[in-house]
Amino acid sequence: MPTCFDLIERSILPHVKKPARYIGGEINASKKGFSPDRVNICLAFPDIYEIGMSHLGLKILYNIINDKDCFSVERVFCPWTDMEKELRDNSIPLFSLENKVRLKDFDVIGFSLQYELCMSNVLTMLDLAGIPFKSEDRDSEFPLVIAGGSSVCQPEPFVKFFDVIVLGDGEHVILEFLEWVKRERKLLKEDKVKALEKLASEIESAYVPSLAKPPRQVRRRKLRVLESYSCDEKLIVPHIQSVHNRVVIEIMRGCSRGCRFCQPGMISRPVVEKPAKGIIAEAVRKIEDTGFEEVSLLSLSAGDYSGIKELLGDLVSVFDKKSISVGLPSLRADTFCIDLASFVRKVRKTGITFAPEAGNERLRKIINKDLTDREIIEAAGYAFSKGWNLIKLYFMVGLPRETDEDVLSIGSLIEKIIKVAKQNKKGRMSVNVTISNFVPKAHTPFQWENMNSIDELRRKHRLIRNSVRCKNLKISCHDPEMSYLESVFARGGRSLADVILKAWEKGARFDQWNDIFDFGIWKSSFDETGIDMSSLSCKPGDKLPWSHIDYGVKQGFLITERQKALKGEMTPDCRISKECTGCGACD
Amino acid sequence: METQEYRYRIIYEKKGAVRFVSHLDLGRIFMRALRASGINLKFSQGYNPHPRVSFCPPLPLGFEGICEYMDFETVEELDYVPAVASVNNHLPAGIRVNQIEKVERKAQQPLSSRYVVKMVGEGKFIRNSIEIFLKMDDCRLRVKPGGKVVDVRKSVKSLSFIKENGEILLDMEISLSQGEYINPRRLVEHIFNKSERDVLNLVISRQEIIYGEKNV
Repeated sequence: MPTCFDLIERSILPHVKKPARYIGGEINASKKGFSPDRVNICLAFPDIYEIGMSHLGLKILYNIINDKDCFSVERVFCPWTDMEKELRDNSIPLFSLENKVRLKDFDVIGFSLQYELCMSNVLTMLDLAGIPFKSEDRDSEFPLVIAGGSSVCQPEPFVKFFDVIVLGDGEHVILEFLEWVKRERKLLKEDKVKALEKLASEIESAYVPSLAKPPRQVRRRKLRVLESYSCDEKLIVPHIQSVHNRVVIEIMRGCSRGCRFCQPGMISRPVVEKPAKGIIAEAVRKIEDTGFEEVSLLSLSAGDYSGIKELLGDLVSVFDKKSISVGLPSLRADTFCIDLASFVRKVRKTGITFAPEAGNERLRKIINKDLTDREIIEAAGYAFSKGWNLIKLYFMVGLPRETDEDVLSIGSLIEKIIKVAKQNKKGRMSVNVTISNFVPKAHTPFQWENMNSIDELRRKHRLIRNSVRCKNLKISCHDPEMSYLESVFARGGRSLADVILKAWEKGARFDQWNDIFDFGIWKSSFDETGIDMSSLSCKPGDKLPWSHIDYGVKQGFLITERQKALKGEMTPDCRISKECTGCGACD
Repeated sequence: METQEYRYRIIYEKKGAVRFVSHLDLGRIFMRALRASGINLKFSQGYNPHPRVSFCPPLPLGFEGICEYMDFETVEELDYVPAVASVNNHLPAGIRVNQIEKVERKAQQPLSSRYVVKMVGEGKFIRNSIEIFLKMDDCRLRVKPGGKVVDVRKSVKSLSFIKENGEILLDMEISLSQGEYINPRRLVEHIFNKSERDVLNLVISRQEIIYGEKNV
């Protein structure tokens, strides 16, 4: 049933910030009406429109679902706090962007979970939709509430809120799931518990947390081929400036470099590449259809795409004369990659990003980051000599086996980079450094490591700030409280659901937003629930809350990698060395 | 060397929910629509080339407009009748190009705009309030909190109302000249003593932009 959008347009939208977030009707948005004859799914992104509309996974799923006549997909994003208040004050339920339908009227609500701290927003959305939070409190009158996305690889803290969690690459499994819903509609209405049991046994990678019998191993789904989708695929063009205001094309999924802290790298193995021919055709089609003036190639490590040079050459020759630029994020700090970057960015060389992660080679060996100080400094000098005037550097503190000397070496490496920048660049130049905090993540060799305390992280940030000063240098540090909370959710179990509920009731919203995040709320919620935040770390040998979740990489490999890390031994990238590391992801 | 210039004006309307798309975002929407329609825009010279376009005076967020325009230059002659349809194909619902026409380099300046406001309230009160306002010699009003003070009596070129299908439609022409512009919403708030929230709920539509030579 459509909500009275007239009323919303007349008396609510004039009073909120950026009202275009809530109006829908963008170019290439679905024009299927809402019909109960189809299986209707609403893709829900627990962040604001501008963030969600930049997310590639949402675009992919939107297109492949809408491609089928028997399914229909719509979107909803988390309303900003002002809109939440307006909706509440006027008793208007949360509605979808396409047909302005109440969320309650969909068959399925599919949440995309991309970071640990998005759960308060999920609860806001369910609450505004009038849908009970916990799976057990929702009878068959309510839509199935499911979740997918990179954060569900450790789903235990929030499983109670979802009926089904879809593990791994969603492209195929979402269609199988919707087919299943179509087939089992009757059973779903009659007996939700029984239906979900059946679902768990019939669809691989569909994890049903509420089963009476503890779940067997649930294996993530993995695409073995990465393709461009059909020519009908249309990119929605957001009304308002989104974070990525360009055509984004995924060229490769996964990364085999094997950095030991990196969860995306571990859970998306083995690497799959999209064929170059398809990429070019897709880029041309999407640029022509949307009118964007930039196309950006997405992957965890673009320089590792085989034939990246040829691909870029082809793209630039297609687009240069049309004044369309080609963007290339996520590059390694080496001259090969800088040559690639200067090739695509002939003018407007705004900034180039390197991620040394650690300040010296000893620690870089521990995390398996195959970069020497010399390479980094050379790469920086090379980039400045090629005309860049801004270098962004990413470092991490709180890594396993890190000493104060290691932390201080970040400062001296920055100093050396500034020096080489001054030698190579005449005129204005700047170096921006981002210090993030190591958070031990599930499915990585560092999943058993300790998280630094908040005070310890603050102290390390100060060490760096005090060790290097320069007018061309800007250092920003991630909020230690936010990282600490993230670490709790990265490894916690089901007991955290009550903490999330309590924090939400106390007003937790948009926890991944620095200016809104309130650690005090979370601290008191933990206190009142009687859970000690610092108790949620793991040691080797502990039963891990996610031990039943299988993302391909074997436990034995993670243990070996951890031991090698402690000895400072590296493991080469199997795609370069051509030697299998035995991680198990290809099995 | 004098090269041939191709300057065009798109006349469009912005109605319905897209009235909540900001002027800046609307500019981006048009740039994309022009590119997607295969129109070869002329770019400025220099280190950071930009397409040569210019917009009419911005419409405040939430206003409708039925006769808005945007000027642009192309590198070649434009067949502008089919261009209307193809640009419309690349615009979101609610934004519609009604005409594309050729314009001269020295187009006339926008002097004022005329708005229609759908009013809520009693006709008698509205009539009285208008009369009182029009009789004033001057009326100094702060344009926004912390903003400058403007003699809005001078800003208002005309002000009247009609009743149509039981609705009261306010018709007002407001100067666009420097130091005279006032947001029609602020004016309605003042003249009819309305609350800020009530005024935001009014649907205001810009009917036309009036051009002419600037009197110096």
